[in-house]
Amino acid sequence: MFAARDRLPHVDRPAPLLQPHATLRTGGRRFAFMTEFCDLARLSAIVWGWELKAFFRRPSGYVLLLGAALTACWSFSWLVTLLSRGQSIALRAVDDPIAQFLGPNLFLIGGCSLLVPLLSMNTIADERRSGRWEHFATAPISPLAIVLGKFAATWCLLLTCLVPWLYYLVVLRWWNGSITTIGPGLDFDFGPVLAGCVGLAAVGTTFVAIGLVCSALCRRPASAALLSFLAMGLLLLIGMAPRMLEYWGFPPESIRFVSALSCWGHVERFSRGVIEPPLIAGHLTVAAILIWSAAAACRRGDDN
Amino acid sequence: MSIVVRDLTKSFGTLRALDRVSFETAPRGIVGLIGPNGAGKSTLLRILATYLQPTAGSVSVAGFDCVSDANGVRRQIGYLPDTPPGLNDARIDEYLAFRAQLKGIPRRDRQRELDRCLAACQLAPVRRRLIGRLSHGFRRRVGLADALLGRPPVLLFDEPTIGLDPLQIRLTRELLAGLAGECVVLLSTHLLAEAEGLCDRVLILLRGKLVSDMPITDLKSTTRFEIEIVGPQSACHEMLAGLPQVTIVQFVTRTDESNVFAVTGTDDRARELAAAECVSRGWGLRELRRTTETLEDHFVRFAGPVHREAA
Repeated sequence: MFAARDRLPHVDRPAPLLQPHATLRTGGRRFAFMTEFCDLARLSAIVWGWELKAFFRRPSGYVLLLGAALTACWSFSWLVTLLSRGQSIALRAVDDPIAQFLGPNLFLIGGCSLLVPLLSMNTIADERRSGRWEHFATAPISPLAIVLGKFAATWCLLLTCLVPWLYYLVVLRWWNGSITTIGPGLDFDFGPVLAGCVGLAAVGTTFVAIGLVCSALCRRPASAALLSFLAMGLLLLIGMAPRMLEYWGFPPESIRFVSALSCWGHVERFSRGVIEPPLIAGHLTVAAILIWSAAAACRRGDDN
Repeated sequence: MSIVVRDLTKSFGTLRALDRVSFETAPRGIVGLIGPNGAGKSTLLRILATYLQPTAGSVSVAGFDCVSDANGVRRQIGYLPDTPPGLNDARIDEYLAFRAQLKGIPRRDRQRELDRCLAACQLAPVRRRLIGRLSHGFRRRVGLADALLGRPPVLLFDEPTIGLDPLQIRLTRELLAGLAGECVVLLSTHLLAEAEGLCDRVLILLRGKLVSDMPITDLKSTTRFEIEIVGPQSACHEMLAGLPQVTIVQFVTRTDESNVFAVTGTDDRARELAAAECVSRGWGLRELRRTTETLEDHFVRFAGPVHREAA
């Protein structure tokens, strides 16, 4: 009825369309590394684009964005309350309220600690649970390129969720001094704002990379979210640790070491208006190690 | 050779899913992979698709090693796993365009290639539908279209017709038959009639071991007959097994004084010789009936004892 051997003994086959990459690879050993790197960047960019589109296709994505905007709104109302009371009765009188707004405030850090697990939980765990990962992993793309693309997309989405924070600051700058009921206006400096943004972007790389590792380690998205939430919580605890160590009389070297690990502390340093390249490099390095670990976990996970 | 598998072993902890499997395939044709549930068919396909790593042995696809050059292998294969593909919120053509990008199909050829695959899998009329709203059969066809993208020289299909309606099954089989002249298709299936009708060659896996590797033409050329002899069972069995053209003798049943055997031989003279031997030994020959050897008979011969043992 449909026997292949009776009907089609041989057909002249059109040339496979996947040839160009094969020829690119034979270009010479000297350029092999460059070719590999370009391939990695190209494939990661494809995954990045796909993941971003996927996020905006789901209604849950918009709910998450709305939630992030509402958190920013809540935090902004807190900031306006502080400003209307005057800086002297701010929560921490030593800090500029603007710096606190885009720095170490509970709304922002707490929001990130919730956002990152929610954004990253589906990236790998859900794909593997639903079997979609098998389609991904058997395409001509390395696990590292997949994870890198997903990381870039999740990081961009995290920053997108934080855009309302900037929007509120721009509104504040615009209205600064024009509403007389809240005083003559404040000395508004965009330096700490920009540095705070850079700091959040830098610390965000570590947060997102942790979320991806958790997603790669877990089979279920809920478990991944819980694990990364715990990891974020641990990072916050490290932020409080130096004061506790100081209280318990630990040597200054230990306190300095723990302070250096504190992501909360890093956000605080950036929000004062100073961009510290070593801190950015440190976060990028940690993120790179975590991304590599997530890719390794994916490879290992497939085999079990 | 398109696919070369040598002493392939795959273990998951203490479970040995594949046990020293070896075979090779020609660059064109359809090779069927059959076996009961848990025989290792999907594991074998996953290793060939570089999703899993072998525990021991070597596997190469289109000249690329599955372990040392996994990306090279992935460029040469189209793989349809047993899970439906894609993101539920994506449209069929968007998903396939994404897959075409991943597979590195040049931009100038991409649209033409998408149209070709959509048409081949009868998906063109529904190309703008969301994958999440498709029936299981349509999703399988999306997976099939994905596997065909880029005209890979090796196609690995895990149960491609499962979940399709009869008309879709027929169309898919015609599509596979058409592909047989262009590339090699390794087809895992439970449907023995499908394998018998489509495949040039059939591999039978049982508990991770390759127990049979036979061209379908051999199956057609074998002689099979049932013979009922009045005589001692063991002597009859020995006599039949000793005939030069006979390859397999199976005891079927025993009536009051006669024994029925199913005999498989390489040519028709086996029947004549069996009858002549019975007469010369003074045994009564009650019936000699020619039967046709089907793939199902062939499969049951291997799988039956294992199944009974497990039960």
